Amino acid sequence: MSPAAQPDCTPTPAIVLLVEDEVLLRALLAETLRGDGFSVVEAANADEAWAYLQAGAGPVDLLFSDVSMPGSMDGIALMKRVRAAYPAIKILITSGNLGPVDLNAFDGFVQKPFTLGHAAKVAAGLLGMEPPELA
Amino acid sequence: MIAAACILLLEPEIIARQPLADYLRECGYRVVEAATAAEARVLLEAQPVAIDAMLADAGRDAPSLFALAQWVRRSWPAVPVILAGNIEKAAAEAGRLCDDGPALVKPYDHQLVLQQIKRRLAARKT
Repeated sequence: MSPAAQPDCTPTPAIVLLVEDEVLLRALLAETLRGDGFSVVEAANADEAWAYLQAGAGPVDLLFSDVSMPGSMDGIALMKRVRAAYPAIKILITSGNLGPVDLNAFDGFVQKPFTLGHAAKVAAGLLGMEPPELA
Repeated sequence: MIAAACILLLEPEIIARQPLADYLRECGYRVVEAATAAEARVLLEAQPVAIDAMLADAGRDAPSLFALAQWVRRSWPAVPVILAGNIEKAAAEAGRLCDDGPALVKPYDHQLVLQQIKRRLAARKT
């Protein structure tokens, strides 16, 4: 009889769908989040993020989205759609100038400009993860 | 410690870009992602010495891809440019802009992409 397979105890990284149209900020933030143990899917705008979710390309634990973006919808419209269609996904939004919004439509907010470490810490907190060690 | 080679992946379709980027990261590369030629240009200008190779598919926007590829060749001749996608109609143009022409067709065969990148980076070092 072959021995029972050992359970894989490697923790599965939480998956962040990062939506940011400023490519340098997106690349830096994605790299920071990956360094902190997240798996990151990068979307250049809300339309791309929605297409990714609709395609069922993979599970997402946290939507981390900018608000002002080009395309057919902004971050507010995206988070409303996500909340309605995928209620299990936590929503973290970021903006430098957030107008009046429904506070029930998202779980966390990061004011721009932000430090990469702070953004990663907020993301980890929303997912109930240990906050990363800040350098 | 040798730093991982950095691949700039320009792919407008997130469904194609994300799994390929993840695969290349699992293979040990650092990957920066761009959804448009304009984004790729910003990344290249921001960190000109950090990009070791560019893999690009501009989707239906082939003129932007070719302009970007020409610009990369002029500005950073040591950076290999690998063109991909369903751009057969522009194959002659693409062939002038990368080493072997548009050898990669979509959907991506991840292992084939990996082989191409390894080959181009190795050729650059010789």
